[in-house]
Amino acid sequence: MKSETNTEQRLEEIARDLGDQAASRFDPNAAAEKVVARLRVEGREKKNRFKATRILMRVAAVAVIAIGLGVVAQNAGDGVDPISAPVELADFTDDELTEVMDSLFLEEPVYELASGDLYDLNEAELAELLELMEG
Amino acid sequence: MPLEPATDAELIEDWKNGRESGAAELVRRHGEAVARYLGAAGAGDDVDDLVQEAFFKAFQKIDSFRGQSQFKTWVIRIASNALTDLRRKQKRAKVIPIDDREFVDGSGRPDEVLDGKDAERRVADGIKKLPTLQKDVFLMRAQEGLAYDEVARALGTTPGAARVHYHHAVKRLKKLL
Repeated sequence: MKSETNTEQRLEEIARDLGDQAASRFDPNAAAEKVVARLRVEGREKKNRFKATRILMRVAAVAVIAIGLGVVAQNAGDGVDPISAPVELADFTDDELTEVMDSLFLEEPVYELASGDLYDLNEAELAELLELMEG
Repeated sequence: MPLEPATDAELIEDWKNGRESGAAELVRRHGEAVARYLGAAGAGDDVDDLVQEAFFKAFQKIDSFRGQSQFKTWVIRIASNALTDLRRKQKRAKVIPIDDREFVDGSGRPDEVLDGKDAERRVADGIKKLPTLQKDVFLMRAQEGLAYDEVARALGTTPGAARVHYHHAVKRLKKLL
């Protein structure tokens, strides 16, 4: 029992020594400066990238709606039973358009999916992504 | 009367309110603990980069930190994920990390030095190869002296499971001594 405890203590001691070697080479002030500098630059870039992604999503959504409405209008012309919704994008009121848009968009993306592939995500991020995809 | 140092929670609020000094102070305060974890977890020459990466990610998604664990252990968890991601990328790029350095020391009797350092090297290698949860639990206990319930909160598991992970880790590592 005592020898078990000694072994555990020895292992923990080695783990601490290994950590201390790394910590002694680490410069906290330099790291703090670098992290803040990166947050300053990349935080701003990320915001801009997010804005661009949202604009692209909106454009894509409008295109999908326009194509869909075109098909409906064409079917109506061919005598196919049309749905009762307005058939021209221009027929939507501002509020209706906003409602359609809002229903199409996700909230803020949790992770920067655009900047990497699936292999770049860790387990938690993958789980979150799957949840998002499953709705 | 000397001013009380700001708490982690206050520094986090500072950062959320756009004050960079809050973020900088948190790095200065907890950077060494994160470096210590990474050093023992086998990050080798990547320790500095990974510490920065972990804090950077932490500050970027600070809104997801709800204070259920210490800020320090939360960042250590992020560092652990960052290390796993880095090793996976290196594996995909077929880059072999150069961290199998020799532990050479000029002091002590040569045979003693060799025995001690050899055991240390084997254990260091063994820690690197532990499953992530076993490694994280073991190092949080060994280096930070955390109780099982605190380790469990940091890793999103139960104290019982944390205890099991610790014992599995020790069981594997003691074969290397």
